[in-house]
Amino acid sequence: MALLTLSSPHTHGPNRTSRIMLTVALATLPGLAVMTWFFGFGSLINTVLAIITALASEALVLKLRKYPVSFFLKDNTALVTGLLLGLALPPLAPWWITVLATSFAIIFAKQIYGGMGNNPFNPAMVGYALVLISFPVQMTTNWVTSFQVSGSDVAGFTDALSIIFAGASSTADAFTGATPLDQYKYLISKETSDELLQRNTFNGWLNGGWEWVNLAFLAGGLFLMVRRIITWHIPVSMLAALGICSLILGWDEDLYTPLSLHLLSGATMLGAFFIATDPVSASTTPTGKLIYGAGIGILLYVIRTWGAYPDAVAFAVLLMNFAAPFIDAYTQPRSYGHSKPKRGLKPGEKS
Amino acid sequence: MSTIIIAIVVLASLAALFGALLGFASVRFRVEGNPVVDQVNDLLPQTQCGQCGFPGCKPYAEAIADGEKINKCPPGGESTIQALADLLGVEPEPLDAEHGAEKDVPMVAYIREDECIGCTKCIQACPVDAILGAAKQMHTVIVDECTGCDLCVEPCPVDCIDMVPQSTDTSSWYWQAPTTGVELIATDRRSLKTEAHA
Amino acid sequence: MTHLIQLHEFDGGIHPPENKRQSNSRPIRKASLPSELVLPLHQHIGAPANPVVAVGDTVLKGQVIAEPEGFVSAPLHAPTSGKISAIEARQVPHASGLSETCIVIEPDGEDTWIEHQGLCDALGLDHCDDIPVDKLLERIRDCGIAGMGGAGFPTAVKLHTGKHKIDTLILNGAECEPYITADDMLMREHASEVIRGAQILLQILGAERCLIGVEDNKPEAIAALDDALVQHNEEHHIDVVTIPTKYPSGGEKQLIQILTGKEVPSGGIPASLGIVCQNVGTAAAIADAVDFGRPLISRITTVTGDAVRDKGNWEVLLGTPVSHLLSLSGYRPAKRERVVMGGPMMGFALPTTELPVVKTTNCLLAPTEKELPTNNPAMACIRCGLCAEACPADLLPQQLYWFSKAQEFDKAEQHNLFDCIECGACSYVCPSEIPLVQYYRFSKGAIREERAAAEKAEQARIRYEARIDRQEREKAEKEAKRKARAEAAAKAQSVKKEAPAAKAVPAAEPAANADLEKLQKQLAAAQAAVAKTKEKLEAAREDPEKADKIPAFESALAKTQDKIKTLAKDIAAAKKAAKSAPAAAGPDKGDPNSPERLQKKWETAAARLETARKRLADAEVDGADTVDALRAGVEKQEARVAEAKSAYEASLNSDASLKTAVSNNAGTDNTSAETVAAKPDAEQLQKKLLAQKDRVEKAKERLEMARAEGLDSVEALEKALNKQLDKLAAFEAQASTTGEV
Ligand code: SF4
Ligand code: SF4
Ligand code: SF4
Ligand code: SF4
Repeated sequence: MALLTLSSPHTHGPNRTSRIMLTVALATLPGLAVMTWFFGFGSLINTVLAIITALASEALVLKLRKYPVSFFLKDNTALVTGLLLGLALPPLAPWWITVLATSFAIIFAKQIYGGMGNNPFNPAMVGYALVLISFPVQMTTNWVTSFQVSGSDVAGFTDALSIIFAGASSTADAFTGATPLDQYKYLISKETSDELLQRNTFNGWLNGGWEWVNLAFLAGGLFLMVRRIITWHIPVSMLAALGICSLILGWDEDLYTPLSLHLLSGATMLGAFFIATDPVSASTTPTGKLIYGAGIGILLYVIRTWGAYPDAVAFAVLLMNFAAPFIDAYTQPRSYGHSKPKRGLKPGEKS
Repeated sequence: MSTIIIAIVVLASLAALFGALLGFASVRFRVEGNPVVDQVNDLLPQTQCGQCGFPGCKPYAEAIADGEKINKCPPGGESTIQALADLLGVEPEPLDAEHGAEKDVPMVAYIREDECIGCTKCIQACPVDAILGAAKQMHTVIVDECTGCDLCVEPCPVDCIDMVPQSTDTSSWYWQAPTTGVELIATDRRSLKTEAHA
Repeated sequence: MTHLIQLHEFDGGIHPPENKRQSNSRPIRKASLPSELVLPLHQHIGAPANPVVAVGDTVLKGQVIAEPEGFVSAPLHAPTSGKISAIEARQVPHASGLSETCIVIEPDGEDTWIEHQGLCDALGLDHCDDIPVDKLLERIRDCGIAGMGGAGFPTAVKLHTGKHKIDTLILNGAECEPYITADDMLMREHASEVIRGAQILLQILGAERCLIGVEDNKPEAIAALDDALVQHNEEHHIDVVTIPTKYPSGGEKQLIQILTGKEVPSGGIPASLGIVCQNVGTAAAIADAVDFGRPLISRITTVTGDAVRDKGNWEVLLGTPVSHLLSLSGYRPAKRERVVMGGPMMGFALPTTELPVVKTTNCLLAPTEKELPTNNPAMACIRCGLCAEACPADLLPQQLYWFSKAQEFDKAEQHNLFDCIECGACSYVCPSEIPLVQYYRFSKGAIREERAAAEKAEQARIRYEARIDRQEREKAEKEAKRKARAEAAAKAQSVKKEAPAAKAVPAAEPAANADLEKLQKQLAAAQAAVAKTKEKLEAAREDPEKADKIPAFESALAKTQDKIKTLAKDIAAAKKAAKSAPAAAGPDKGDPNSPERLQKKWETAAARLETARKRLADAEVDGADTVDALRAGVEKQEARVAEAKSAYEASLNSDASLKTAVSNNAGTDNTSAETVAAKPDAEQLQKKLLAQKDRVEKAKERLEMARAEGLDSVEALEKALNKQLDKLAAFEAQASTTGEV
């Protein structure tokens, strides 16, 4: 009578990776909905396209690596990568940008490093950075200028399809432009802040689409926190660092982008709650998360303000990904029974 | 002209500054320690089997310090080579097969005591004095001290020494690392779950 | 009760479903007597106990059957009366499924107690409150009490707190593991014993207060303890503290943190904080031992899980097979059957049910797959950090996992791997269902093994160096001796040189007087003897080799005895010859091959043979297992005797042949011998030559033998051989010249 002998514990809680990933995906839905509302179907189409590409590339690589395909696809991580990338790319980006970014993210940034859990960089952001560097024009101008409030002016489904897949530029020109962050930075040398904020792009408080999009992602992020899927550390420290930088360095709205725009424009909330918190490539110790988040916030501000790119979530996150292992090694918590925490990786003297 | 002078001055002072820093660091953080031979010797398994071609671990350690290859110790195996490579800052090489293969399990000598004729030859062969016995008396191996070097097997005229795997008891046994999920699926497509439902 | 205890919280922790209702709704039942009881000698931490009974002995209930071995150990008692049916290796309840020595008792069904009494009565004291502490400790040790909560540390050892002053005793009644209700039921039904145990422990430790920590999901137990406190009038020293339910609050370190806010230093013991922690079951066992003299022979065990029909708690005799207990509880083996000893979080799955209940068995859990599904294949770690949030020791389980998986043990150690209490909280929450704890166990084991290996290597190095030193010393000593000898020889030589003539004349005289015919006869006889001895030598030499190859000596017994007889005759003959030998022996004592020397050698060899034979005979009579070895030894010795004899005879032979020539047999100085000798005729030379050849052969043989045996004499023999060869060459040269003449 051979009994099963497995190591303890013999019971397991309800947490499952696939479910966690699915929850993350669900939490982005409000953001996606708002984006679709304000920016038209481009976001939705690109997101779906990105997800399909992600799953297909993942399956392909797994097949090539002779790994069990369904076992890994079921973990939903490729789904989340595709989804986040779809949300981060410009809504009306041509289809090949989306496909290129997503397949690169999955194949090179994730699977080449050994697949789920082994990638040192956030795959979605690697894909994003690739296309941003390679195709700066398409990446900066395909944003929808959100003077459309009523919804009637938004790119309709067919319009979006034709712009994305057929590159119908004449249609596109009617809808696309740079993001508010970009415009503000570009125009502030010519106009005063007050004048600027009266422009269509900004359109006053809570009138443009960006504020609502960011608020929707904030809501989704809070939902994740409540479900204890992410902790408060990274988003809070990141937003705080961004805010402090902007208050101290950019207090003069006639010279620098104002705080409200930093927090509620661009990919700030998406980055803070969904991208910076990607557990695989982030720091994992409590103190480490604070440092990591703050680092992203500062870098975000620096690149946004003095860099050439309009938004900088991708670069800030990737740069901090580099630092994460190091941060982890030096921010170990104080373990039970130790008078002080250990530092670094080398076996040191007992603390 | 003045810019060139400034540049030279700046560079020179920077060089001086960093030089001083490096010098200070080398004094301040110098690693105190035993000479390299002892460090190498500490990494060798001290089996004293001579498979490396030297009459013991210490002589091999000395040879390594003099530039001998680090991949000649089969009892130490890959882990020892790795450790030596780390210590000496050289590339690890695969174990030199010429000197023998690494054993999977640690072995100890076992004398079939009723066959021993008490010739003391094994005692003379054992480099670590792990055999107990006197002329014409039955001999026995002190298991805790035997390094499993094999050297006593050959000289025994009645072939009564066996090398047996070191036994594990409940205090030395430990769990092995689990097979990963991927391996589990790869080796057994009927995963734990499906088997359960079957 | 009277004190307000400020509770603290430990970090992390989880709230798995409790599943305690199934087993705590009915009172403790007494398990029936099984057909045999199996008692492993190693039920506690420390050295295994040493059996003091033999197979076939009858024992009474409570009788000591194994004594502790060393300080950290515990004795073992017979749980019932009966017969010792075996002392053998049996599988023991351990995750490894390995076997260890167990004492097996076949109960006689009488259950007769050995005489026992409370310590107070045993000491004849009037006031049972002032039993000396050492007597109490002795009683606890003698009764084999070991921690009954989990690890099984011998209690008496734990109570020896040495230099640490203890102010707080903590009784652990938290029982935080799901399913287990053994302590719960014990506290409900034996609250009074628990309190009594606490009193005794307080007295031993000299502590001021006792805190009994009980999770708030056991209101009945708390009420029972409170009642017992009132009964014992102990409300002022002992507090029953209700703590919030959270796993693993029953871990010793966590309970201490909850109740006192202090942390046991890493690698340290609670005593360094002035705290001793004991399980409530242990306290009850102590009360039983001290007040009634009952050793630890039974315990309360929960049997639960959906695979048993009749869940509940049993009072079980130690050694009762798990299968017996399961069948009492209506066990229905399910698919993917598991039986866990201990709880679902920290217990271990048994490899078979034919294993005994031991001192630490608080629960047998037989879950169905539906109830506690086995893990899905583990996915990759997503570094979600849930494990770190759950870890009560504030470790970074995800990092430990990476390091363990990559076998980067030094990094794992640096991340405080050894502070992991293996509580399983991290595995429980891990969304990727990684068996984290198994990784940690693997790492810890590998690190321990590595440490042991390093220690062993260090030991080996020391021994090796000591050996080299010794060998060098010995060599130096030998060298010194050799030098001394050489000097002495040189002196002797110079003395000899001064009076060569004086010596030569008396030496030559008897030889001159000797009858040539007689000499020749002697020579022939000697030669015949040499031939004979040679044959014998050959035979004798072959024999040990046979012995090597055919381990079955039994058949050769008779043959060998015959040989011994013939050899005895030989020796007798040799002795006779020896008596006459001195007269004929050459005079030079410095020569190792002189007949005198050789005779001595032969005699000692013969004497040794005699003793060897005697020993063999003794061994044969006793049937000792050394017989074979001794026989081989005797055979070798025989060979040696024969050889010595032949050498002696050969030397006699050559001596005789040279006597007429008044030659110096030793051959140390051939030329001088030549000059002193009368001019030899061809016949004589021929004989000499033959004898010398013989001798060379002999020397060669002897050298070979010595080499084969690795004797120290190899060098000496080599020298001797060379000399003999020189001599032979000289003789040959002489013979050829004579021939020419
Ligand atoms: S007993 Fe044999 S195997 Fe063991 S150390 Fe000595 S010589 Fe080597
Ligand atoms: S070499 Fe063999 S026969 Fe000789 S003492 Fe050792 S074990 Fe015994
Ligand atoms: S809970 Fe599991 S998946 Fe999450 S960090 Fe820990 S080990 Fe990794
Ligand atoms: S098993 Fe170890 S690492 Fe895991 S939660 Fe418990 S103490 Fe922490």
